[in-house]
Amino acid sequence: MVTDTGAAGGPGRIRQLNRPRPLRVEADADGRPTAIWLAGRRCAVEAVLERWRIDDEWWRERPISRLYYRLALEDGRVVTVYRDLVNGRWAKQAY
Amino acid sequence: MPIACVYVPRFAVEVERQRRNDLAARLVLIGEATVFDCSLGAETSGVRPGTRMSEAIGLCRQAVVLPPDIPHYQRRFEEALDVLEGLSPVVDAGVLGAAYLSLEGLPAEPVPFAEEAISALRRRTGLMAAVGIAGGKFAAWTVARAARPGLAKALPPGEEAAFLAPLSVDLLPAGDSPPLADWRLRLLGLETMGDIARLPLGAFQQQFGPEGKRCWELANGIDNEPLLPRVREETVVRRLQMPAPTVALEAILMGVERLVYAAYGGPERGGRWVRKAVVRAILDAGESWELPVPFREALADPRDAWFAIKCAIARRPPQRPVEELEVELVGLSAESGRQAAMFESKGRLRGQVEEAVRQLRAHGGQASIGKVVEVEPWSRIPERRAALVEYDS
Repeated sequence: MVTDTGAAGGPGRIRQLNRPRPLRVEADADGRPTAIWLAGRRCAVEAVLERWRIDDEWWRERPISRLYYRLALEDGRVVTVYRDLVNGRWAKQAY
Repeated sequence: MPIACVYVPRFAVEVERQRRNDLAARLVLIGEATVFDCSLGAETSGVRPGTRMSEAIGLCRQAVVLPPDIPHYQRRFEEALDVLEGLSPVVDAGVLGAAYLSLEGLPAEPVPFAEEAISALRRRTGLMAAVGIAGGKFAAWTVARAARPGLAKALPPGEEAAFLAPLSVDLLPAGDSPPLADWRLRLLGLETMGDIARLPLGAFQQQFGPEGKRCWELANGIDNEPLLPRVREETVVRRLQMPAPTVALEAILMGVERLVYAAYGGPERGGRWVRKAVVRAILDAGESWELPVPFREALADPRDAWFAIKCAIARRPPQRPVEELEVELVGLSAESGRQAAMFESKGRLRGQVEEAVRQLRAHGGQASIGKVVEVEPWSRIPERRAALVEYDS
């Protein structure tokens, strides 16, 4: 007979990694980002290196539809951001 | 900060010519499948380093073809660097035949200083260098390349971009996987560095990535690459002149064994452990042979070192009669410098992690310790790919 330890079963607490972080973005009339705010500082976008869209889970109540941009900033950094096409919000996320 | 580039054009050919007088007036090609270096005459026939050897021989039928003797070139280059270190405290060894010197804080004016460097190098090594002086390494190198051997040329500060503008894009440094392939630049109509400098940085970087940015900056005369002073490593060297040129493996092994034990017994080692040995030989025609033997872990016992070296020599012995042998012990370290095995047993590693977790929990109560687990690594949604799960020992 195995004694019941009383400990909770399962894998313990789980935390998602690489969650999108909300981001303040300035965009032009076509919706392309022209500047982003990182650590309270405005960084102009030097070039859009790549752009791609993902649509997923359209069968669920909250579908996922995002337009990703890989951006070269004026200070030489390269960051990936996306615009949520469902609620129009911007977020930063490594892809 | 002004930088001087001391450049010996066609370094390998010059070194070979010093070794063999019969090459003085001949076209020379050095290389195997491709050309490593070639004489000026061969260059005027259209041969360049990197040209296929078959093509190069077709272009210069009278040329003498030599296999590259890299250890010898490297040794001669080190000699040249030793001379330059007597002139400037910061000497950065660039590629074979090019060294960069800091002129900061030196009492002499740049051009007389450069002339002194040329003269010292000529006197001590017999090599004729050209010197270029500019604000950055790349500009200094291009100026030195354009100067005639034996002369020093200085670029006034701020004129780097104007000097570089008419020069070919071929001079730009290529990385390990060069995105700046000539054909792509030519396809875009970019022939000179001035063509690149006129483009906006964003557009050029978009095409060629981070290396593109660096090349754009160089073409604009922006070069903040620091000088990396030469690192002098402490080594123990022992040499042995063979009584007669020998090709017998037993005799070579016997000579190397004596050298290994002598090097290990040398006072310079001071009881330290050794990470690597380099065995060298001078062969009958003046050619060099070199065999680096890195040890799996640092060794203090000459018997262990000798076993590793003997096995390495047996796999790749010298192919020509040996006149002189040399053993160099490098990477001298304390016992703590022992290299850990790459594949430690998982059980031991797990035991160490669990012990660390147990101690953390003992000190901090509910320490938050997690491990990364893959959830849906194939997912297109980045946050679904991995998660942090509480570590459960």
